[in-house]
Amino acid sequence: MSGKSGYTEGRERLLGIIDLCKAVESGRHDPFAVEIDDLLQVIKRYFQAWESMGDRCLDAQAINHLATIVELQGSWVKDRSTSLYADPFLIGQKILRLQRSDLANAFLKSWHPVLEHEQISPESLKVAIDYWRSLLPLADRWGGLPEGLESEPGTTSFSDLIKEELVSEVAFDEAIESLWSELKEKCKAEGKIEYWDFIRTNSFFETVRRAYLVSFLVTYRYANLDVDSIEKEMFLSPNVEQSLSVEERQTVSVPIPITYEKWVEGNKVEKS
Amino acid sequence: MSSSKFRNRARRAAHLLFFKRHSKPGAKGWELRRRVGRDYPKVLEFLDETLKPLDLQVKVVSEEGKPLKDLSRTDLEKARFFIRLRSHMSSDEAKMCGWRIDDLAGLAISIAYIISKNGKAPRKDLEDILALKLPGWRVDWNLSRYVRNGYLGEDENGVVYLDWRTLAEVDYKTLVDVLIGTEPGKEELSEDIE
Repeated sequence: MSGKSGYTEGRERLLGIIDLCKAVESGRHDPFAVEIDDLLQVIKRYFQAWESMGDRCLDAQAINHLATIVELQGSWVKDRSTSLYADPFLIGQKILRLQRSDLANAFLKSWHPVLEHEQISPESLKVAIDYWRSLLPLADRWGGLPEGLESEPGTTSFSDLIKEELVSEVAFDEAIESLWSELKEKCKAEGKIEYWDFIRTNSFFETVRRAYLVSFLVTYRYANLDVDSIEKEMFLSPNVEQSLSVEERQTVSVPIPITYEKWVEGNKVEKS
Repeated sequence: MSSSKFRNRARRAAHLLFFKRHSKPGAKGWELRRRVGRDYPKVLEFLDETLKPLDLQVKVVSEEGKPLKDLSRTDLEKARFFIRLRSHMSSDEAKMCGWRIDDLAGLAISIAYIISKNGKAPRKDLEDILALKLPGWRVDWNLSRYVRNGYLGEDENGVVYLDWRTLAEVDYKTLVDVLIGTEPGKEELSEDIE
């Protein structure tokens, strides 16, 4: 067994075996129509030709289906050894020869319909009436929301939208770029900077905003976050350009709580 | 336990089994244990005896289709209990229940064919067999009705098998024996149910 043709032929044979087994499993063929020994020989013959993981998975799949057929053969024999066994040929012939009335009569003799009753009791009616009485009208249940103030349509300016914080003055991309440049600038000397030293400013709002933007810098590989778990310190170091290599990709999430108390405490230390 | 208490528990069991509460009628073993008590099999035996004069019986269907005598306590918990007719229906009664002769004949053919195929068969094969005796437009309609009522089940590959209602209502052995033992045309329905 060698060469490309042997490989292709082998895959086709395996797919054929799997299809045959599936047909038997779905009841289209008799389980004993499958020659297990012959098919195992075929699988064995091509085994050396398999190269990839996909080939070996196909091989394992074929073996697995053959095992199912062996199991079906077992239950086939067991079934035929019981008194419940009915020869499919005989049944087929009977179905063809018998009148519809004969068939219906045969069924009636073996049929014991299940009873199923649906009834409303006086007790359940009483519960239902009580519920109905206590139920508020839809208008009362859904009418609770106040109506909005009506005002005439007008115009607004871009600066008003910024004031309302509905749009940002600086585009998000620009903010990220700017922070990345700042990080590169601050790391010029030592190549890294303590995380809190970088994000902390005199405004708590701005500190949180910088932390939020830094999380994007790290996630998208514009910067690295190194955690020193012994000293309990975190350092940021910028990448010269966005790094996308699999080996270097950040694979863990680092939750960093930023509380107002922590920010105040850090500022006090800095001032002292 | 006093007989009045026992009767009271049998009554609770009857309520559970007679009245349909889910999509399927009857009750599971664990439901009966909760409402009737740990010795619910004894209560059901009593209920079965009580129902005898009314030609009704308590029937248990296990998940694996094992006979009652082979069921362990755990099997009983998962098994479903029904109340069903003890003997069988007359053709007139079947007609009153909304079953036409074609429907019953088709169901008999379907069940017998699936039994002969070791419990499952492709829907296409079943359609071909039904089409021998039923008009084409009724074949699909009938098969869908059997599936909808729980007599047959169908998987995503179009393979049809016997479902919970057949297990609960039909005695396979009797069906196959009667089918094989019947000579064509000798046994007419006492009343025309068509």
